[in-house]
Amino acid sequence: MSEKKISQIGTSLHGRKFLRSLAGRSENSGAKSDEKLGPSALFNEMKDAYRALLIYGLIKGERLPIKNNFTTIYASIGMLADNYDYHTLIKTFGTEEDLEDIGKSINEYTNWAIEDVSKKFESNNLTIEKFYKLF
Amino acid sequence: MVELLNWTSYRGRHHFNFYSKSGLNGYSIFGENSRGKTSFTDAIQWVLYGEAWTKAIIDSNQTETKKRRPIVSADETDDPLLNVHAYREGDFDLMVKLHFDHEGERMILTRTADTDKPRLPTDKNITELLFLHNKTQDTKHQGGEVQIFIDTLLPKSIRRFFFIDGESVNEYRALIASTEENLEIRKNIEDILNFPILKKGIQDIISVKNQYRTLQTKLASDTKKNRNLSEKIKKCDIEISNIQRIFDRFEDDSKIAKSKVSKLESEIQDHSSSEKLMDKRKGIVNQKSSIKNSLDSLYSRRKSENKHLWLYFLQPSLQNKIKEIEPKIAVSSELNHNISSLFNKISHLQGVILEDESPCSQCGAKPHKRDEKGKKQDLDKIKFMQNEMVESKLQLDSMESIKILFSKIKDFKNLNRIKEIIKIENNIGELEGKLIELNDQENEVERLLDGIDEKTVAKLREKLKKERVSVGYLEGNLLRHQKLIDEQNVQKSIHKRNLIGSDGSVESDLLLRKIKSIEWLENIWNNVIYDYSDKTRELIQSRASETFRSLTNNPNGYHALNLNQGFGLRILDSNSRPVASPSPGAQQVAAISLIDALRQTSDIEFPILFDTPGASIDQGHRNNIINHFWSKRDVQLIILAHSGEFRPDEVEKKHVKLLAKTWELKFDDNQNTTTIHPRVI
Repeated sequence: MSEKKISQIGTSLHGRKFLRSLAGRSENSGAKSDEKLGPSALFNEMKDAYRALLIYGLIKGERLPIKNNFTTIYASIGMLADNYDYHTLIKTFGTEEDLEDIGKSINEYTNWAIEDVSKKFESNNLTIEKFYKLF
Repeated sequence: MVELLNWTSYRGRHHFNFYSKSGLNGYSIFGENSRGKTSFTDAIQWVLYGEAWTKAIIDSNQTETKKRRPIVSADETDDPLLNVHAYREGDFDLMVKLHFDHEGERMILTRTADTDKPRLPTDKNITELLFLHNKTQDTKHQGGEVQIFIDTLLPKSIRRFFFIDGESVNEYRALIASTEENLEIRKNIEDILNFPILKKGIQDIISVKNQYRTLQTKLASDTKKNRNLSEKIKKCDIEISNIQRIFDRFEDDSKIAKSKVSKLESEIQDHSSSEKLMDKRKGIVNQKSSIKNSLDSLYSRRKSENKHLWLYFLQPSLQNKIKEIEPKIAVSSELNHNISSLFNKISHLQGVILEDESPCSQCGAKPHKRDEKGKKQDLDKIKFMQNEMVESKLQLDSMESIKILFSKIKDFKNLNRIKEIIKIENNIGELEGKLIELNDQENEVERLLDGIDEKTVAKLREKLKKERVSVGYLEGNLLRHQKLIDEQNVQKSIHKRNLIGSDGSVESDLLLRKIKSIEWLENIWNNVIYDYSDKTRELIQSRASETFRSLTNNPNGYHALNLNQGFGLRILDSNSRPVASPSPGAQQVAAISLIDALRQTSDIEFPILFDTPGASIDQGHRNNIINHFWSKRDVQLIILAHSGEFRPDEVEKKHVKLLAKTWELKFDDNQNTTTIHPRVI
């Protein structure tokens, strides 16, 4: 059995910006929530936004490779998945091919979702109701 | 006139009529002992005072005792008032009636004893009744008011000067026995002069004086307390004054502050529209703040919910996936069962071939014995079932990964709380909309307030607020100090209530003056009584001496009577020296003289009843007594005598010019009654 490669979890620069925006982070607020944007942001952490977009991509989308400017967000899947088995998640809702590099699959499904949602909504216009209707 | 009904020895009705056309005042009733002479005087005393007494009995100790006579008794020795024979025969009517003139009016005084008891009553069953009929005015009176009238007519205390009993020698001798100080005479004189009333006046004065003295004592003990209280009152006054000064200052300050408030209120009135806008803005800001708070809470809740949003998003697809896998899992379960069943059947058949007699594990039937043909068929069956079991196992193995997956994806099952999140978002949207509206309103207010010097208005308002606080503070202080003043006043009034007088000095002076005045009055009163008593003593001495001289047979030996300041009585000789051992007759005459003087001094017009006048007096003195009383008195004098004292015919002959009427009492043994026989003079 050949050893499978597992990429780090990340996204494009655009994706990162979008995720930060959904979690109430501005360009200058670093890891912390922006004073203005933070309170009314949809998510408390980027991780919460990332997971929601991953599910959207996995259920409704497809893998969209990140062409350039990949930026790492989490060093391992575990940091994203906490105690959940994301391998099972990808195996259940993805394809056999996705299992070859789960990290990459996650990145690409999420990338698709980010591109799709950000095209349809500005980060500050997005609501959960609108998001849910996309499914 | 004296009427008697069943009175002692007088059974039935009897009367003595003292009316005489001659205008003379001398009367005599003669009779032997126990004929009813004393009963006659008793009758008059009973009608007057409701009591009659037996003659004095002197015991072995020379002590005189008298018994009150009962009204009824069947025993004669009891001396009852109701005639014993009448009583025994059931006649219980007893009456004494006195007809007399008083101050020109005709009066009838009646006393009766009556009973409801039909047979032999005792005194307890008897009711005494007293009536007075004023014939002139035709008015009738009874009971207590009649008794009061009788006391004015002849006070009971001095009756013995009008009812003289010659046989009561000891009594009269006792009256003059003390030569130095005689309280008995003093008392008699005081009674005659109505001194008890005067002395009552003294007692009243003394009583008032004692009251003042008690007050004075109390005042003295209260003075210290009063001083303390006065000090406390002064302290209260000082305290009140101090508080009042502070109160006044606060009041002045309060007036100034109120004036400032009024001025500022007037000033701020010009900015009322600006203030309204400012207030509106304040309201908007408050609303915004409240909405922002609500929004913050909702944002927070949404973020909290969105932490699991990926799971909520996942749920519909997860459900579909589970539905998709579940039939495969069911097949897997069926395969498992099938394999187990085949295994059992194979085992059973293998046992049968080996002639094992164990019953079938599924149906419980004992195996049939197999022949060779049967055994071959069983071996074929076993082979077939083994192939089938291998196939099933292969099939089951191929489903193992699905089973694992199925088990793992269950971990992603969760409640879908998307609806709750949407609800939160709707609330957020609503509040954000309101916030925008409020922002617009705020901007509008800001626009209207543009150019208005808000700082000035705010300063005015702030100033007004401060002044109002100041007024409140001052008013509070005023109330507090007023309360303090009230408390001090309450304390003060408590002290004042406890204070007797001011500090007691004025009351003390006043009381002292009152006591002095009352002592002065007491002194005067005593002096008046003393003077009156002394003057009366002199008068009685003079009158008694005059009578004594006319009564005595020895005017040279016994010249006069002396009544000293202690009311001791002495007989003086012609040289005005006290006679050392006066004869019994002289003493008796002295006593009679004194009695007569006392009676004269009393100014009471009442007949004199002289019972047994010669009991201890010789013939010479008896004549002198008769001459004196019958000739010199304006009042009626009734002498009740027996033959041992006076012989009726001799008396009548000798004093024919002095006598109005004479009677002789006899006793009718047939009728058991005293009979009255008027004598012809």
